[in-house]
Amino acid sequence: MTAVIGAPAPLRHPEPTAPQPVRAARFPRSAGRPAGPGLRPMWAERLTGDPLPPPGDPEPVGHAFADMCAELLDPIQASGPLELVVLAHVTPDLDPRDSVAGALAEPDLLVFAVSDQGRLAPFTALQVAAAWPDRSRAAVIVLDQAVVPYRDPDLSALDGRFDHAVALRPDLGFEPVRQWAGVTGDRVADVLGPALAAEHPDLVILGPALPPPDGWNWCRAPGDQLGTAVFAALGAVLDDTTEIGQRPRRVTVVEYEPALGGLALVTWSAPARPARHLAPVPELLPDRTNRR
Amino acid sequence: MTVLQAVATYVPPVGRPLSEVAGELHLSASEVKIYEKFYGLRDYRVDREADGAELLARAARSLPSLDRAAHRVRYVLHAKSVPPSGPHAEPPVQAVRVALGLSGAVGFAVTQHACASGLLALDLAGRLLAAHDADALVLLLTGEKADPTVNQVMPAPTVTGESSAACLVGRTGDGDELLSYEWRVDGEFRDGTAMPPATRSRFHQRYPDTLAAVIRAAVRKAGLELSDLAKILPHNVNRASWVRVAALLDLPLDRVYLDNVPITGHSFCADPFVNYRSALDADLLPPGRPYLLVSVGLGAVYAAMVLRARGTAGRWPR
Repeated sequence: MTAVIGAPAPLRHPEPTAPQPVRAARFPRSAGRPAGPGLRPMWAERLTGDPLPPPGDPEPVGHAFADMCAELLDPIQASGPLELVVLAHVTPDLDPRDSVAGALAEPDLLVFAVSDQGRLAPFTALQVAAAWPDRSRAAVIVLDQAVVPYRDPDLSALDGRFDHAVALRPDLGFEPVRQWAGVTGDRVADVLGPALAAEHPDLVILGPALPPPDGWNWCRAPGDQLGTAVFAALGAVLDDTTEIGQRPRRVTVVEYEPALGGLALVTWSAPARPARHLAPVPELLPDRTNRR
Repeated sequence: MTVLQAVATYVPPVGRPLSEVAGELHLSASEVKIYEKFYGLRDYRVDREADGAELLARAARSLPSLDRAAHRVRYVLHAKSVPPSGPHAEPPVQAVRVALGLSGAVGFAVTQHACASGLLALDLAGRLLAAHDADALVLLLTGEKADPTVNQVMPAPTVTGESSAACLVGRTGDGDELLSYEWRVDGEFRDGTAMPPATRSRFHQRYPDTLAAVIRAAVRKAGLELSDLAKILPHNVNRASWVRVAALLDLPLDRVYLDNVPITGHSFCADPFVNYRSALDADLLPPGRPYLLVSVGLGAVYAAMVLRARGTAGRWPR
């Protein structure tokens, strides 16, 4: 489901009663806060090139990762405590002084982040979450801040009105992530074809740099988001097709990061519904005919 | 099983005395004296010729086994203290992954445990490898640029430098076995560098007790006693804080490896691994004896990890 948080008139959908595998939220930038003034020198040093906007440019505002995480996690934690939260982001937190692990701290809740992998970080976060089978109550939070305190032409096409975030529940239908490194653009179709044949999805959600796959129903994720794009699209698909029979049973989400030669996919599949009218299984007595 | 198979480090060759860089680090003359006499700090050791990726590559290239094992490396992890480390499209971990010929490996950064992220990443490395062939490896990298502003915002009395470390982690093979990992996050101090003075004061008061408790928990989880540890290989924030923690643990101070504090100062997530390499070279980790890696990150993340030395100490050339 998708919620708009912090807007003057939030377009908030009613909370579903059942846990959702995907929950997307948008945070209006106009309701954000500026990075602290003390951060500007640090940003200037940590970043290369032309790190700061010229004097007179408006102070960039956005939503801190900790605030976005809290909004998304509150409804999840209402149904019970989480054991693991893995954040995934492409652009850094506008205010990195605030420890998200500290902000979300609860006894025995492990919180950390993966990043520096472009649009593939959310896939790694799902993979990492699966590496803690002893912490099965887990959430992955994908965070996109469209604003950084320096000029970055790569970000010019992003949604300037909203920060975006998506919460994923790995235990609610996400199958193991598959990742490939060193895949050049001309080889993407060769790798993706057999991979999709193995996944056999009803629908493929593609990141912006991917070619349409032959032989599969597909749709493209929004081009003005980063890590959240394909997963927000998955949330929209699941939101829009809640009627029984309409919702695809298997949706494969695919993303490609050209700069890294990285390709990743993960399939969400609807949980099997319990059979209601099974005939009783006849009891087999251990007699001479059926005993091995 | 998680096995620390090899560790190599890069320590910038030139250390400038604090008195020489006091202006750059915004330290007064009296603060320099206190840093040197009370906190045991001496040098500001950075390499202005190397960018963030090069700091990591210099440590990794010192791993004698990396060339032979490159095809087995499935992941390259960069454990980072400070998340922004360059324009988002040019992260150091990706540059070093390519520079080392590991383009077939998946690379990413691990953050949010600040300077304790290195121990988290070591635990994560073993967990990720559980889904791969027995001979698969993770290259774990630590180290970051230590710009003057980073030094100014550190709430602890310390000097942050640019030493780095590279670790090869496997599930089997020669190396040191990970026995336990414990961590704790004290959310009251989430503001890290932005803590108000009263909160900062409370953090400094609570720090030794909490750190000692996490160390005890890690040792207990490994089924050991504190007295079993050959060495504690700490973060190098300063010497004075370890005097307090060692006293709380009722351990002699020489059980804590502090030789690098004046030389390297604090180096983000790299300290325990840099100290490991130094202790190994000095034959301080006898085969069969357990030892403890420990670090604390901004935002009050405490982490401790017990490993057992195997094989012949000093077996890995630098």
